[in-house]
Amino acid sequence: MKSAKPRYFTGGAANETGSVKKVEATRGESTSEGAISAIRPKDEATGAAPPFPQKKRPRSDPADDPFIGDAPISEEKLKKYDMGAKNLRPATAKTKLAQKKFERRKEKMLERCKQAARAEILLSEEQGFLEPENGELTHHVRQREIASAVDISSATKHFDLDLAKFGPYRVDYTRNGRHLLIGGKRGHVAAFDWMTKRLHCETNVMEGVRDVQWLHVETMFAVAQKKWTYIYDNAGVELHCLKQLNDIKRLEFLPYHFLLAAGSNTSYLHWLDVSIGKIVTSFPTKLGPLDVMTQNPSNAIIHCGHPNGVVTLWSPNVKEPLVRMLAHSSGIRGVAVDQTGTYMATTGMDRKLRIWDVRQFKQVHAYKLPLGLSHVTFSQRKVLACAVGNTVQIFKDAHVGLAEAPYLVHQCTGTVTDLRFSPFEDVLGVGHQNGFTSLIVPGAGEPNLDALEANPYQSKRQRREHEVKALLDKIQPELITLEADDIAKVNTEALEAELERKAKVLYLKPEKIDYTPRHRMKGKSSAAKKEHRKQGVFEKHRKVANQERREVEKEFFGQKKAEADKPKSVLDRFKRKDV
Amino acid sequence: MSDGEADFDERLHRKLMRNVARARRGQQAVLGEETADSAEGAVNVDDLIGSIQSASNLNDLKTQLTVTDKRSKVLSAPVHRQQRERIHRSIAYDETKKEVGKWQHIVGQNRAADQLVFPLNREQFRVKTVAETVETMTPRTPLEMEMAAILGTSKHNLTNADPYTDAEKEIMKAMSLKEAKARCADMQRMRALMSYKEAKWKRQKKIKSKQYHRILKRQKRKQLIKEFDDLMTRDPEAAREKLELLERDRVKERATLKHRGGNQWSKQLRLHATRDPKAREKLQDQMRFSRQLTEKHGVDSDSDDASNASDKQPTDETVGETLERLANDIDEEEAVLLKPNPWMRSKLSEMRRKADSSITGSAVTASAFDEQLRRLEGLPDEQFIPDDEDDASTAGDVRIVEIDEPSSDESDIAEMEPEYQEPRVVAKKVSRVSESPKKRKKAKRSEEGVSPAPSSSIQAKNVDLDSLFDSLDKRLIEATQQQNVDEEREQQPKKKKPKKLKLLEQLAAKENATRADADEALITEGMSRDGRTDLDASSSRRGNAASKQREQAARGRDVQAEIMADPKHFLKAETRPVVQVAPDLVEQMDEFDDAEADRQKELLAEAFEDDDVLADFESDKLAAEQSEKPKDIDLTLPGWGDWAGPGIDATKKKKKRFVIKAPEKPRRDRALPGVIINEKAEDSVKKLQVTMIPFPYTSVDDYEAVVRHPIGKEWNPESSHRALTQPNVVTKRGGIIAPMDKEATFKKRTVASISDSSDEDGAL
Repeated sequence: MKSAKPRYFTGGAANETGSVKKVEATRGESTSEGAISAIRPKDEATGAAPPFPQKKRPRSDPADDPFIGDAPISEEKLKKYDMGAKNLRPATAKTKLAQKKFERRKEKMLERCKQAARAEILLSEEQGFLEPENGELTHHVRQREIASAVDISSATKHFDLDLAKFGPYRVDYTRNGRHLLIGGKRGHVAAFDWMTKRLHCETNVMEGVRDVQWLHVETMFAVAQKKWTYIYDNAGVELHCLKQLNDIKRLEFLPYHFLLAAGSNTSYLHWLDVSIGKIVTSFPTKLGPLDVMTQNPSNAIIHCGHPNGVVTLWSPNVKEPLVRMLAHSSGIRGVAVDQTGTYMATTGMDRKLRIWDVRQFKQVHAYKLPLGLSHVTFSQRKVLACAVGNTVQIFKDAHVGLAEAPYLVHQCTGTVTDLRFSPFEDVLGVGHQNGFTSLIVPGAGEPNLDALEANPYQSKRQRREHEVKALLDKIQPELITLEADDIAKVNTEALEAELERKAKVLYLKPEKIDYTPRHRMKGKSSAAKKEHRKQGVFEKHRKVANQERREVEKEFFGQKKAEADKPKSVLDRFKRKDV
Repeated sequence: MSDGEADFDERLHRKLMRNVARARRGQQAVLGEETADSAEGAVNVDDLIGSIQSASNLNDLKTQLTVTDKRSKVLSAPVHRQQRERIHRSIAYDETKKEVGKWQHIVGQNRAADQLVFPLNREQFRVKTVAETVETMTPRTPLEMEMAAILGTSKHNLTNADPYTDAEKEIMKAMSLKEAKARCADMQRMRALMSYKEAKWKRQKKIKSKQYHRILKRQKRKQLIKEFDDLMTRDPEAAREKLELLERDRVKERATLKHRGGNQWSKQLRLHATRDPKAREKLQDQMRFSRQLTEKHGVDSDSDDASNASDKQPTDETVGETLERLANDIDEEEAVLLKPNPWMRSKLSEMRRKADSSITGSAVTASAFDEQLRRLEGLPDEQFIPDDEDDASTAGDVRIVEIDEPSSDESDIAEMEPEYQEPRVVAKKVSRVSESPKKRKKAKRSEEGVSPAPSSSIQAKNVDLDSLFDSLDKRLIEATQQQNVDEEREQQPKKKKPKKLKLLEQLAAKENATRADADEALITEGMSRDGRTDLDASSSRRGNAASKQREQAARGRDVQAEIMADPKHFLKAETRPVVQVAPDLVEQMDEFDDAEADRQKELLAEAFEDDDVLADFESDKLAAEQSEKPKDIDLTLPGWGDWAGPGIDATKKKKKRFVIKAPEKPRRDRALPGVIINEKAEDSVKKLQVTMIPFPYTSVDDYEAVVRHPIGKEWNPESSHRALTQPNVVTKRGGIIAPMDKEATFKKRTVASISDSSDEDGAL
């Protein structure tokens, strides 16, 4: 240990500054230690019974401790959690007391940044990928091989449902990734716990199924059928028939807002609040059938793709597209937005896969893929899956422009019609012409799960609890905006206008009002009475104007100091007060 | 005064005399009879006057007179009531102010406090730790004295300062080094074991599970019986004690009949027993247990021998085994202990790395290195080296070795530690540990030397940089040689530097850009260019093998770069070619052959590709711009001071004066071709935003930053969440909140301040 110590302190240039501080700290403590030890022999000298042997506290000899103080946190990490706390200026607060309080608050906020950065250590799980040996290509690895290489429980995650009769399938996973819902075009709808393969329900709705979508819990799901949209519970019992949502092509559920967004064949977009069962907004987009639709999970904006190569962004608050982006030179086939709301992937008839920065609406990368490119989806860890005809091609690092070859390729028995990654699992669900296939995609899912957010292992009680909490935390649809933190901003325009108006008030004459008293019966409308009433109204008006002016004066010029310490005369009461 | 006689004024003197006389008269009039009868012995003014014979000593008299006049104490007239009250009030005000002012600080503190807990002056309750109690403990009773004496003189005391007790040290002195080490390890192991056991028992004691305790009880009972049977033959006295315990159980069972089947559980169970074989079994078990409890022990000794025989063997066997098992346990537990603190691991690894680098500098053999490492860590045995040494640390070692000693052959390095034999494996491990996916990639590729991708490897860059600098230097030198040598020789370093610097800056900027890319920062404009530089670098690395192909690709990419340079061509841009894995299009395509498929492709493209999609879109954009543009306000009155009518427009002058121009706001999408951002969309949220900055804040930035800061559980660790959301006032339910006690408050404060100051003194 001793030989190690000096090396530690005279360590690399990187932490030289840190080590200097540490040395100082130890010196300070060691002096105090010395003072104590100097006193101790006295007790022995008094000749009393020998004291109990005392175990020294571990902190007592800091010179020997190579790990002094708290573990260092890197600046980058702190920066990641700092939402501007570092630049706060408590000295600008209006009063002394407020300054003090503000100072405290800032300290707390900075401490929070530190703790949050420190807590990252708990995210211990790492994602893994296929690591090819020399000369081998990962996309030559077949699912069969992966399944045989992994442990049994993981191997069971690759399976194939052969349901050729009910033809192309739509797929959806719950937010915790535990339950799977599949809907075949010919009316077959099945919900099951795909890990244990326990079936919740399986029905044929006897009508064409366009899309299926889980709602906020695994006990309810919505099915867009040929005519109307229905909500079923997990036993397959029809709970609601939503006649307002007719001829729906795509469904999306916004979990924080409890909104079911639906794009119809007639170009209508609907937002239905499932917690109260009412339509929030519904309007025609006038852009043709909405069969390419997805949501941006970070701000709940709906992205739609259109046959003219344009992607439009919609919120329920504006009846026009928030943004129109020309993404492809021909029709859009698939749109996906990643979990963080940074990247959008689009695929088009022009065989291009494009990656966009949705925050800036700029294209970042573009790839050319084989003919038949259609659906696209992002995993939690930004692994990208594309449907190309009857194959699924999965790309790693495509969002940073590093994809050279598909990471994995899987050939399905029929044309792929839907792709969804299972949250928190390295699994991709593929709905196709002849059923459903679950693929193992190493490195796709988020390995560190946040049970407060979505818990794959939740019990019934927890689910109920979560449902209630989610309802209490429900965000109103008015708050859906392009930038999620818009609501925390100050309306500076209004603020400026208000200030300007106030500044004007000082030099404005109070507005004259035109008022003719109403005629009243029973002698209440004599000329004098009328005049009286009129003057009353004027007086009121004047009073309001004066008060406002006084307030503004106070704000702009500050309060006049009262002439203190002067004995008041009896006659003072007759002085003018506003001078 | 000295020359008073000289300028004696007759006129003044007369005036004085007159005044004095007048004063005398006046006084007499005021005092009246009082002076006449009471002041018989008193000095009269007449006497004073009488004493004036000449005007020469008049000045002395005058002073005397004024002094006496001053000394005479006459009360001033009482002030007016109003005035008096005013004075009283002001005094009272000052005093009260002073009194109340004492509270100022406390009130201020309380107001600014994070949290106030009422009742305010509750007693602080704190549990003393064991260490604290021990520190203050002085032995008093004889027993304590004795204990202290024994413990104080004991050689087996272990302090944190020293890893060995005195006794151990003695033993070590007596033994050889090897033996001592082994022994110490043993002792340490035993000590650790003891502490683990202790911890385990503590934990077990807290288990509340009924099931667990039931099983435990039965086990204990079995053990007891076994011991009893064992002792029967060897030590009848001890056996009797055990028997008593057993007997007590028996008595208890017989008295309560707890397991006899009278309780609720067994009654319930009996209902099902006829149909449910499991229930029946349970009941039978219960009955059996009851019977066992009530049976007398020590009566039948038939089975004793057998049980003895069966019992003895395992105990004999396990003596050696238990030790081994214990040792294993310790190892395992220590490994676990070492694992979950990555900070410690990283620090340790840092230390080790430093040690390594210093060692590699001096030529040391592998074994010596190992030994030193072990000595460094203060680990006596090989077992104590944690088997999962940090991957990152070892990887770092490898890198350091490579950088520090490029000349040393690899075999040496390989000898040093088994992990070094496979640098690739290590690199892979590193890749898993490191944070960003691209960085990982970089590291791997640079170490494997394969790099099939034109990725930006830092090492490769470095190499390039060096070569670039070299070539540049050479060129520069040549140029300078051609010119006047003498002049240039002096200026050379000066000239060289800025160029080199500039180049460095450029390259650094590029490198930064690529690095930023790796960190998922986005590069849009310079994307292709960066890609190209990367490509160049990589191609130079890979050699000339497939250079032709690459050149072609590069040429293609040049065109591509041109496309990328113009943002309007973004639809034609492509990042990099991707390996095409064509699908086997069962439905649509399987009847076509390749040529047919191509034709089909073209057809499709023709059908769907609009020639000038962008132009169409831009016209849309223009229309949107026009419609969203804020309108000017026209205040011109047609016909006012002018002719009006069809075909007559307002004059320029008029327009200039009466048309209020709308403020021009730059559109958000002005620099984005192919994007239309709706400017009116913001209005929906603007209605909900705050329009005034609330009280303590004076700047928008501060207020926004505070609001933006998350305080919820979802974004914060529990502790900071609680700190951020703690209530300002906490009251105890039902507790009376009395007003602050003046005495208590100020006493506490003074005590606190005194103790503070004394602390400071002590520290000084």
